Amino acid sequence: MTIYYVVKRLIYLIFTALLVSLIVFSVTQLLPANAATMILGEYATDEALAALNNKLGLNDPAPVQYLRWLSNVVQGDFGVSLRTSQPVGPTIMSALGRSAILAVFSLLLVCIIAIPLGVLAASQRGKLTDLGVSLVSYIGISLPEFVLATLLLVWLASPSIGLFPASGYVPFSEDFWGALHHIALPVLTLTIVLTAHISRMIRSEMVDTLETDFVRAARLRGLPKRRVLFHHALRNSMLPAITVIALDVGYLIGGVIVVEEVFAFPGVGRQLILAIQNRDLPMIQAGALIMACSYAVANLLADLAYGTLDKRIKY
Amino acid sequence: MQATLNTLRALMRSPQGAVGTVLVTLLLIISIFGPVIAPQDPEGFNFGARFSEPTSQFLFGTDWFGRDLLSRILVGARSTVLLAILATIIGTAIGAMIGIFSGFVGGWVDELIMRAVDAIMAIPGLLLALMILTVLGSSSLNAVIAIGIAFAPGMSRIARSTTLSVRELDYVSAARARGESSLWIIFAEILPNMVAPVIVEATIRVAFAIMTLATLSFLGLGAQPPSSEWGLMIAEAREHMFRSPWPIVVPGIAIALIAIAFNLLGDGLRDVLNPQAQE
Amino acid sequence: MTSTPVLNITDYSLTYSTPAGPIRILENISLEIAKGEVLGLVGESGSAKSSLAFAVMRDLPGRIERESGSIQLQGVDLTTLQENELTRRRGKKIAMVFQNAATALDPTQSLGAHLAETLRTHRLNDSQDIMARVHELFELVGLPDPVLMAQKYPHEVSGGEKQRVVLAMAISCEPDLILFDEPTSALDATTAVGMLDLFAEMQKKFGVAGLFISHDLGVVSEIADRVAVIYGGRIVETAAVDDLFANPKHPYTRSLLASLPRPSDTRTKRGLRIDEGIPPTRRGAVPACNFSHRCPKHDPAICDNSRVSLMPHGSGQLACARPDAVVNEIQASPLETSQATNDTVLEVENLTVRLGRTSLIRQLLRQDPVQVHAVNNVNLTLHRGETLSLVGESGCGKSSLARALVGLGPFEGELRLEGRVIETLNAEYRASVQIIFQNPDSSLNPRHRLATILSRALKLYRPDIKAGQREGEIVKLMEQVRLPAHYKDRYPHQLSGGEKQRVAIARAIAAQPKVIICDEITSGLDAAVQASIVALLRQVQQETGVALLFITHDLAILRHIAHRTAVMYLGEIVETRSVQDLDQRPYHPYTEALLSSSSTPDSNTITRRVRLTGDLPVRTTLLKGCGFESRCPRRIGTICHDKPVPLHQVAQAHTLKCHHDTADLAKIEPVWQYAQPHD
Repeated sequence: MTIYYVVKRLIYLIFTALLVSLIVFSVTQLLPANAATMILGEYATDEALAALNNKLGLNDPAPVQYLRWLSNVVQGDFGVSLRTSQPVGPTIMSALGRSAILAVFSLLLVCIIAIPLGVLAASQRGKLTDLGVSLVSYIGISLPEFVLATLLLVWLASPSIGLFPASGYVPFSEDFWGALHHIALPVLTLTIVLTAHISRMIRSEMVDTLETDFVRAARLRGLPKRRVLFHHALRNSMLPAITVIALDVGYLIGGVIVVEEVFAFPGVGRQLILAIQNRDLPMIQAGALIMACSYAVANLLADLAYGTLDKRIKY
Repeated sequence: MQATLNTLRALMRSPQGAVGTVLVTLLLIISIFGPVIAPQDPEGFNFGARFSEPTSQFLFGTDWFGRDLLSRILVGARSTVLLAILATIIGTAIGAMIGIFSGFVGGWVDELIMRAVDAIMAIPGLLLALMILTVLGSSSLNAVIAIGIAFAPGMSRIARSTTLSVRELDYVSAARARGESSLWIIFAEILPNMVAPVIVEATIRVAFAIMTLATLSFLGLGAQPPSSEWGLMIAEAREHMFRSPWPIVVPGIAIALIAIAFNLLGDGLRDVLNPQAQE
Repeated sequence: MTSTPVLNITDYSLTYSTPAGPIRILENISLEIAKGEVLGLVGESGSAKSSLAFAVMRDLPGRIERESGSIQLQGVDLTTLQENELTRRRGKKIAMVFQNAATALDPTQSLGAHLAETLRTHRLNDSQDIMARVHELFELVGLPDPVLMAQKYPHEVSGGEKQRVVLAMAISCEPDLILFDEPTSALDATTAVGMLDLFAEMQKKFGVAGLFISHDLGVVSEIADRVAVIYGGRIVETAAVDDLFANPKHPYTRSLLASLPRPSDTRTKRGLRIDEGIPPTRRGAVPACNFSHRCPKHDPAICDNSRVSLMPHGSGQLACARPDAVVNEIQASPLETSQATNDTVLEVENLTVRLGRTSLIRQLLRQDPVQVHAVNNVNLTLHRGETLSLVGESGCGKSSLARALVGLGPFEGELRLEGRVIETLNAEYRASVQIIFQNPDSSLNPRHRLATILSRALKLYRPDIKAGQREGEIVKLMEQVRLPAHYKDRYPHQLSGGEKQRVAIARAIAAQPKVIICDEITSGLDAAVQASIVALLRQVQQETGVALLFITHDLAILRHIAHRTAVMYLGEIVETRSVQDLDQRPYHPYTEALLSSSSTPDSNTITRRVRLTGDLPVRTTLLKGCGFESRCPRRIGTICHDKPVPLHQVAQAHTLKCHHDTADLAKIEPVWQYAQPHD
């Protein structure tokens, strides 16, 4: 891995972020009603509209508006929410922090569970264990998060059982156990769905690797099964798996949106849905941009990890 | 066609292929003829039988208005399954066109298109669909368009990489050395050899599309009441979820079942159509 | 032979189950390998020779339907051993060297780690420092700088070095038996001979027994003590190596040897036997003899009575019901190349090909473009009715040159077709210069019927033929390449390898070209099929007067088709000469090494050993001096590295590029000498 490669990846990241910002901005430009109409409502007078348009700079050409918006965003100013009249930046940042808690807990659990599961299934290929793991993961990838989340809610949070709270959030700083209690169901939902995806991935990578010549060669050198499996096969399967796990972060983000909505968890996803339902333009822009950028960063990290681990790649 | 028959025969030999094929065929028939075979009026209220558990009269139980869940599922199948297939077709067509073009032309054009595709793919699929729906407004058809557009970048990636690997094969070199036109090379030499991987991917994506469509409806951005789209059914049932689980469980299982069916079929097809697996 | 064989296979049979029913892989195999002995196992592709190796290792990939017989290693039957017992023996008592060292090494592990883990697993050198032993082994297999080598990863070293590491692993635990599965097939000839020497040296040093599997009779003749010939999963003949090549008994062995080209063929005018090589059936009823469908001696009254099994015969063993019958075997036609003319068809002047493109970001960062100099200033002339062969090892740029000539890549330089300078590669030029690719599996579109494949060339190049008449023309073309007319509705996958290559030839001649470029077109084929393709090309050339540019890495076959040969090394043509006097001095030092490395069982030749060491230079910078300098055994000094190489005109059709004076090169001991047959 060379500086050249890192620089190349960073340039791609910036390019991606710019393109995403362009897409996010154009979406709001394409909307039939602009911000002034939304603020003043349907029955505003033309004079009032014109005045506000002027004040907000909405009469400027689109590229000028884009550049102004972008330069504000770069300085951390996402504008003011049309719905709450609060600055968007601080709102979205604290929401992001809460969503990150969900994401990190889920990803950690997934890695702990999914990798051994995939290895187990691949090493027992065709046997009962494999069949069981495959069957469960088939169901896992075929259950949309909202179905799973709602079902968990019905079974584990109904008033008669009351194992977990049905909704809400408590900060970790206030009540550690309460916080865990509140994030349990959302994290459980995300973990189940992602585990299904990733264990399937690991299994299929492992099955391919187990058929390669070098694994066969390792076996025929008389190495113990465990060593062949973990030292040779898993190491080589992990490389493609890293890329896929990073891609699954995109999945995770989609999942986070849904799960936050179901459990009324005050994260970025819920903010975004609220904003879309209320056509709160600055909030939509900020939410979408932040989510897309976190995804792009996850992919960058995966690529860098790949570059460090894979001895073959010379950039 | 002989080739199609052979594929089908090979498909029926693997357990997942067989289960997938049978399930998908069955569910497609149900989706098309759902309204005809529905035993009761899906909108008919039965206030005497609200929150009924499955009985001989209501096989899958009833909801808070006493509407028959089985009938609602059967009627709703169209707006979930068929629309999801439509969304996949849109996404596959757009993606395949972009991917083949980009891969075939190569060079700077290819790099530019693929960087743009990368950037769009950097937006998680559901988020992209949400943004498109923000512009288009909430409706079933708009959700289909949004999913189609959201699928296109991923599909174009696959189409491109297949094009690139086919393009390197000597029969394409032979055609180029022969001086064949680009149209012949794309349509007669490359395209027929790309069908298999694209079909495999599209099949698996139908499962995705079904789940995404239901998710969008669940979030209130897809199908609108009084539609009996499955995701919307669950969204509406949430208000009453602690009274009776059936209005949630039934459409939930329906979504999972059809998604499993398409996933199985896709995996079966992948095994069968993989050239390495033949013989 | 000693009384206790290291490996003793007795009546071993293996049948796999497939969706289409059971398929016989190995049938009644009986073999013995004595201590210190090397048994060569030869057979064409699909003869199940590798399956036998994996059966011995007890690592069979298929779903086993039936397995019988025993495989004894030092008296212990491996077929009945438990998995943990097997694991203990693998690598320690019995080791394996794979065909492709590049895939047999774990890309994430260093070379030293591979060896260390093998040693550690088998608990050798508990007290001693394992790394010291690793370095010792690396040194033993001739790897330069063992300490540095141990830290490198597989992708950082050359193919030959990887194969040396694999060999080091195989000998590390001093096993009783090493299985070699086509260990030199993936290597270039000049690298392969070095490996063979090393195998022989190691085998002698450790006195280990070997099973050496190869499709290449020449390679086996160099290393084996005894040879077993396998055909369709059955051993048909075993004999001491010299006996087998001097006096083959089984009709299959005879036909195999008869279709193999030898260096002495240009002197003896020996022709090659042609055989389409239809493989035996492996399903359904068990035939008494599975070679009978190809056998000239086949007599249903004698051969089809009972199962023909391997019996002692002379000093070896033979599976033939009529060993002593004398029949008129189809004689190969004597070697005769068609008459070349002096009319120039195609001239290539200063052709240069650079591969690789720079990305936008690399340009922004002002990094130098990474370009490979694939072909440098090549000059070639082709005459009507002539075959010019272009010989070189993989990566020397011969395929890049071929692709450039048919417009598949950009190049610099001048092309002249029949004296006219070609500005653009237009339809007329494309029709005149056709190409046939190495692998018909990838050069024929699997989704097109043969009729479609052939009609496209007619449609593009032969506007005089109306659409309605194309059908008839296609049948004529297929006749010309000796394919039955009803094949026109078939798809390529329904044809055998040789038949597919005939289709590719038919497609090339459909355009009535003046030049056909054949890019390694016989490389993937068995010897008999190769002979038939070469014969077909010669016939086409006689009929049409087409000029052929025959690209190959195989010196032996070019003697049967080419008039002149050009030797290519690192993108440059180092020598051009006529094939008739290929073995006459002077030759370029690289040609010398190539001549020395082509190993063929040929009692009429004496070959001096020339072995190359050293690495290839980096291809991304243009060299000032000679490209071969880094490996050249006749390197003069820094002049070879620093000064441009002069071109010598040795004789009228013989040019040579070397810093040596041609008079000096003419004085060296000949690498190849013709010895009169002594019978």
